Amino acid sequence: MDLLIQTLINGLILGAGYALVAVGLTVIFGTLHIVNFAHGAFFALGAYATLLIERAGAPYLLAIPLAVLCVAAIGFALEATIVRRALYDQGEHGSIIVTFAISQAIVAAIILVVGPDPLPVPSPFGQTAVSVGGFFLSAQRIFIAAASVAVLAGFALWLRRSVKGQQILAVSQNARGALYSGINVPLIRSLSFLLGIAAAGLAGALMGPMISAFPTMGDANVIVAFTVVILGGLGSIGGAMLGALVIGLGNALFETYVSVSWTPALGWVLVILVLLLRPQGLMGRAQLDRH
Amino acid sequence: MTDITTGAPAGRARGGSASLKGAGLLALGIAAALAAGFGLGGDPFLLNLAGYTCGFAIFALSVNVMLGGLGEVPLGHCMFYGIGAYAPAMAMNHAGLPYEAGVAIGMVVAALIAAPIGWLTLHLTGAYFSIVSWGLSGVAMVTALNLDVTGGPLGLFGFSRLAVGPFDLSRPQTYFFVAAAILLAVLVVLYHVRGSRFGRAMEAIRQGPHLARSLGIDVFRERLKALVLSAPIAALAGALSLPYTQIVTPEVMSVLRTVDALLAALIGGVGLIFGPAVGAVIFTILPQFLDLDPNVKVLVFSLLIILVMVAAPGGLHQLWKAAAARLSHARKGDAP
Amino acid sequence: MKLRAKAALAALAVLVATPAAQAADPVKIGMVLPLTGPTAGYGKDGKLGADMAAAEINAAGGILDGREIELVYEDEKGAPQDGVAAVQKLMTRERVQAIIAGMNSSITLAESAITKNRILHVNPAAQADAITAQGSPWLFQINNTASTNATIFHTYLTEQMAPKAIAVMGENTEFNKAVLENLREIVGESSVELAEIATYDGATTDFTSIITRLKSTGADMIYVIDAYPARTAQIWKQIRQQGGFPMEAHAVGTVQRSAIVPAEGAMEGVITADIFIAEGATGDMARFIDRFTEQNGVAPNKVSLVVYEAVKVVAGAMDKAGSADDYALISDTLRGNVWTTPRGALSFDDNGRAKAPYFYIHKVTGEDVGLLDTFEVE
Repeated sequence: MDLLIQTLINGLILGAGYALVAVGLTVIFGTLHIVNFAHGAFFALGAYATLLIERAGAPYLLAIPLAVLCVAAIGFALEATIVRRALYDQGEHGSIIVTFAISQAIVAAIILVVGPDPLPVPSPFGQTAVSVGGFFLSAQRIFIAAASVAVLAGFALWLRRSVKGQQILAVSQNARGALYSGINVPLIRSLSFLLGIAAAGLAGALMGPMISAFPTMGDANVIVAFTVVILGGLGSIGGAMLGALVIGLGNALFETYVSVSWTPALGWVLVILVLLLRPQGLMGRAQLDRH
Repeated sequence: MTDITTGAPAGRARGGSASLKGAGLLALGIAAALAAGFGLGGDPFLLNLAGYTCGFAIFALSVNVMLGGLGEVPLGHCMFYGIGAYAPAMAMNHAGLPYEAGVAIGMVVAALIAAPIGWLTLHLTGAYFSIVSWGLSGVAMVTALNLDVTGGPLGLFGFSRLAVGPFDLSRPQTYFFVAAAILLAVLVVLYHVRGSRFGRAMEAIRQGPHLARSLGIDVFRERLKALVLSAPIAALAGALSLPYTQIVTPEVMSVLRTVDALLAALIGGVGLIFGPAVGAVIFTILPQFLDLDPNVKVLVFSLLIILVMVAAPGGLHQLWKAAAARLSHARKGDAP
Repeated sequence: MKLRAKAALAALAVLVATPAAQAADPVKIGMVLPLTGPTAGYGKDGKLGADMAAAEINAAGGILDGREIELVYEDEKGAPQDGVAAVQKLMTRERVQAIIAGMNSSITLAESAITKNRILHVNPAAQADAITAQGSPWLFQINNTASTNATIFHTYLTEQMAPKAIAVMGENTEFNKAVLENLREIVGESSVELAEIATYDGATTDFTSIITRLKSTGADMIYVIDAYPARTAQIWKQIRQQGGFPMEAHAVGTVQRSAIVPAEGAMEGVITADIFIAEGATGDMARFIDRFTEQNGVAPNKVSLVVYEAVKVVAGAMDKAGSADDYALISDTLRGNVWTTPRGALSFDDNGRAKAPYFYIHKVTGEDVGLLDTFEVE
């Protein structure tokens, strides 16, 4: 019983982290129909920015928002020079290739500027673990889970309540219709891209203390994030949260009770099973042009 | 998008002109292969690399059946490439079968596996299809890593004899000629497929699935046919990588392999039948001559790819066409 | 006309044949290292060692009557295909006279299929026994094999530390397989129990559940087999967060500062082992460490050391054999002599495996490892 409870705690906290990485992917896909393979690179940039700002003397909690701003600024520069020109309305082929190339370029740049070795990202929560009734909870993970829930809830609320948020939803549902009703679609697209990138940076800043900063740190995490968003339904924030929960709990239970070495296959099997029953994912909107 | 693609079927209907053009291109291909084969005579590295590049070009062509043919991005196509590489390796090391038999088994297995996978995944489109296909290749990679017949993480190596009939593939020149001949054969097959009823159905589906359906085309069945056609071609490509790599590891199913092929197809031009092959050559040979720090090389190469995609989303040939159009325009302007 | 052409040719021949021109003709050694990708850190460390060795050899007048050593680097990107491509390029295009390649075991095996019977190949760091078990006459290995290292280390774990039960976690690699096989053997001969073995995939992002599972077995020792610094740091942080184990060990030859520093203290006290240690170094080793630190601003690690030794041993053997391309002769010379390296006297057996003179048991202390025990290797 104790083992089950500890495993469920692990899974929930893991899922909160996954949701944080996944939300940026799903926002960018929902509004722009871009499959952003550079998400992992921005995740890494978030961790490196946090680390460098901390080295300059800022405390961790202040470094997080500053790092998110830095990543968003880099995202803005890329959006204005490359993404806006090459990707909007160009279908998914171009987006996969271009974002993949961006990701490779960022990783190479990190190796050239900072070096290949992993670096610690100091956090005041450090390695402290809270022990409640014999169950272990890492302080950094509790912080991540709390931040994740707060950010995602805040974001979902903002999308529903604010004018800009409503406009983003409108563009993601029907870009042409949004344009005809007077919404500044290019602006909304740029804004969505920046929000997605900033979310990747935030995830990197929060998870950096756990996994250290290294150039390819985003790779494995983004693969999980892809399973999460596909499972939940591309473009749906609620779906991403639900998908993250399912995969986090699924992985934890499978690793504890079944097999560790086959766990990476589990997420995909779940995805395929769900898509067989619901081709649009758990909470995605049905696509019109399915076969 | 014009050249061969739409030109071929139309020309075929009119009579000889397109197949004549096709024959001309084939002759050009043979001439290029011979020139390369003997021109590189003194450089076993380039010959080996050229042989590998032919195999890689076949893979890019296979990926392009899905990409250029259906408009889908088959990120998991590396699974079929991997099956093609593992099959002869397992046939030789475990069953004592010759290489050719292993290649044939790999192609059959790839086609047999493609059918149920297609049945499962081809109802999906766009990003859903791409990512689920990627996931399946991930499952295949985990499987190869955990099984004993695949050699686990170490993979399989120490092959007895890599040869096709009397042609010994361990000799760089022979390897290149065999791979180039197979590449040309695949091009011929794909050229004919494109002109066939099935090819036209695919083109109709790519341009508009709803219209295609209303024309009485069974969209799902044609998509399935495309996958079952492209899978053995990918397996063939994987098998042809063995003389170069000398080992098969689970890493062969890495999604990076597919991404490389996608890049080759997109840079060469997805609408052109030989575009992916040209892209593959640019993509594997060119970096060998960029004498830079490896990380700077990655940086430069990635930026070049982005530049091409920004300037010419349809592939490099778009730049040529634009330049040619401008040139002829300028000439006309000067004429009177 | 004919005469003039002949004269010109003769002049050219003289020019080409002058000893000065020949002496300036360098001996090229191909270095295949991971310079990009997830293991680029090892490539960086190795390159520092190789460059220093070449500079020392050339400053001392080169080899084979004044020929300099020239190192040609190629990137294997941490993937077998790219390792093979790099080796082929170096052999046929750069026409190098020896290949130094070997960090990851699977990649080294792929590379050795190409070099077998064709060129001198020295593997500095990869440990899997399968590499040197192939019977390649011109293949040599500087690092100990996984089973040599593991036998000493596992005997130490079972006999000196004597846990009741060991829980093992490691990445699914060839290196891991070799280590596990040895562990099963050694544990089988002792009273220690193997509680559980968890083999995870390289794409695993979190280890909490694995550690929970291992803790639930009640094992009093955790043993981690992983060679990637970033993941090593992450795993130990998560072990610490779950309260740790009474005894903690990490696989031989994989713990470096690049893992200890990002672990931020979570690896403190972990027991490991290697063929190298900076603490308490004397003689040649102390001088090597000083020179390296002075030139590069960082202390050398095991990777820098073995790559340094590989370059030195290749150059030394060529010089002694009096040839840069008679590989049979160079290989006989390598096997027939004892080579002085910073670690002491190094000799190669029939399989081309080096016998390191010493083996050290380490304990992670602060930002580096400290010396716990020293064994002489028989």
